[in-house]
Amino acid sequence: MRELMGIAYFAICAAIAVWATRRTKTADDFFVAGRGVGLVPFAIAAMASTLSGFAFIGGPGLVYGIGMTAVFIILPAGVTNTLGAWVLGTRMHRLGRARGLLTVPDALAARYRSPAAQGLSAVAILAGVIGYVATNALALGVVIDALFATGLGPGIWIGTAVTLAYSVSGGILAGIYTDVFQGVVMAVASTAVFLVALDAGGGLPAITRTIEAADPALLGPWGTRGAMTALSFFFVFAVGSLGQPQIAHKYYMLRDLARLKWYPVLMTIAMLLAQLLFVGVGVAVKALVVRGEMAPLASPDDATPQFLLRFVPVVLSALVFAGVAAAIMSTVNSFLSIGAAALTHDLPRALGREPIRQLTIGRLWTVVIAVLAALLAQQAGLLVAFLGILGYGLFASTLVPALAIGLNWTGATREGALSSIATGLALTVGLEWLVWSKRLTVPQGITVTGLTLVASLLVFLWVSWLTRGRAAAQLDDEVRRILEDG
Amino acid sequence: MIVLVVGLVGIVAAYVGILLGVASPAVPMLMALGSTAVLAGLAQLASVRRGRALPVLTRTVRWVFGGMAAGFIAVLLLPPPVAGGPLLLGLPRATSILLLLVGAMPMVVLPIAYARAFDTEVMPAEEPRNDA
Repeated sequence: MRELMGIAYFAICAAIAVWATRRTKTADDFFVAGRGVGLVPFAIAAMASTLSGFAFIGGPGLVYGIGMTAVFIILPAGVTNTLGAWVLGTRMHRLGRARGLLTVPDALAARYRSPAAQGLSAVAILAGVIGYVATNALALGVVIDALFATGLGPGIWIGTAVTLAYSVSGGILAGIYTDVFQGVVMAVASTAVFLVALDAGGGLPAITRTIEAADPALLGPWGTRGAMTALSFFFVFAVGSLGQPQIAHKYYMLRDLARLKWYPVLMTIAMLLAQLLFVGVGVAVKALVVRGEMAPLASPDDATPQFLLRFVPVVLSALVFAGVAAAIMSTVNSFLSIGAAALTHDLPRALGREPIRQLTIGRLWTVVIAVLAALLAQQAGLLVAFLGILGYGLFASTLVPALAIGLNWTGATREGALSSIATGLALTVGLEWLVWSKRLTVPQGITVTGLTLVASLLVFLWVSWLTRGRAAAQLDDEVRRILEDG
Repeated sequence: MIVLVVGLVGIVAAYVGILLGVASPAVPMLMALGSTAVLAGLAQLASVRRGRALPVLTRTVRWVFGGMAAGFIAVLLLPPPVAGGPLLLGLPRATSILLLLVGAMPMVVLPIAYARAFDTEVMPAEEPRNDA
């Protein structure tokens, strides 16, 4: 049954890709879906590309292990689903249309009249993209191996080939419409498994009483890692969400600005449904293990697979496997698109060259990034683990100050933007490397991303203040109007 | 902007407290209020047009982020949960208060307030107003 559902899932993705490929004729279609996406596909695609396989496998495992502390990773979604539209939406959309922008570094170049800001941010995005795609290629290999018993290595290549097929042919246009299908699969699977998990645990009060008898801190407000770790997660995932390029550049794709009105409502509903499994499975499995109805897990990441095998009807567990594949593939497609755009469009512009044949070259770079990521994914457990933790922090620390503050504050300067991007890039790579190679230990309660995000925000504000006399001269009239009028 | 900077200073103070090994309840309080202030500062910065604060969005920022701060303060001041303690909505009381004020309240209020203010405050005058 699982194999059949897997084949059906991949066949539907392929059909959507063929449909989208026929409509992909220009670089605008390939990188920003022809700027013609409606509200519903926009919101569901944003949800699908926000959530990776972590929401289905790593997240529930983390809830099983550290309880409420892990919930602080998704708790900020209550704020960030709206804050993205509020802080970035209108300005990104209007700048994109006024200047024909394709990428997030394009927006920084327009805002600060700075090819250097475009180039530096493109380098940061590229580094993060390769890490994200490699870790997701590895996760997809695990899922395909579980579904079809291919072995991990072939699973990675099969998953990469499927995602690559529609990413290369239809670009982000194919990505958006496969995301709609994948997002619906994720939301349905997550909601259904959440209900099964509550039922298996005997209801939420029974789950709570069972867990608190064994470990009262687990379902306490901060979980087992304490208030500072939980709050660090909250800060990083709330503020850092404003620097995620796979979401920010989607504002270029909206057909018209009026459609943004109900986006936060739809995005909130979609995210809420898709994240139910994250919490439900984690706490239910913990209660079942405490009661002796399940054996203790060898690894926290086994929480979802073990629960699916023991308690979930086979049709639903097949749907969850499809949901995991959907979450991974939608994220990979988005990152392949922005990585290819950085190489095809942003870096040539930063070096003073006008990009040429962007559709063809964009497709070539998509293949190169995917193959490189799949090769890295074969080194499971070593370099790929480091690259995986790098992505989110790099995007947050390099893009939040210059983008989220810079688009809302005319006092920001080019020098402030460049300093903060350089600070975020150097500190994130340096500190994450030192921590990963065990040359540096960060005390519990502090995250490297939290440190680098605060540092780059402070550098941005401080340098902009020092160079405040140059701010007015660095703004084009048209850009100033968009910044001031929203 | 002042709220944003004050929030960042609060977070830096909390991180310094951790690095120096300070075991005071003020450390997580600074982190909680600093994070909330940074978010409120960013939202407020985006709620200004030509130097004028937009009334519906500004009120929303004050009430929502004020409510979140109150939730954090309340939970940080409550005693740690014990087995057999009171439940609220099936979870330990402090956990439910946190989830309601920091998770559910902004999840409900912010998107609705944004949609309510959209036509009058968010949409620039020159943009076409289509039905979404």
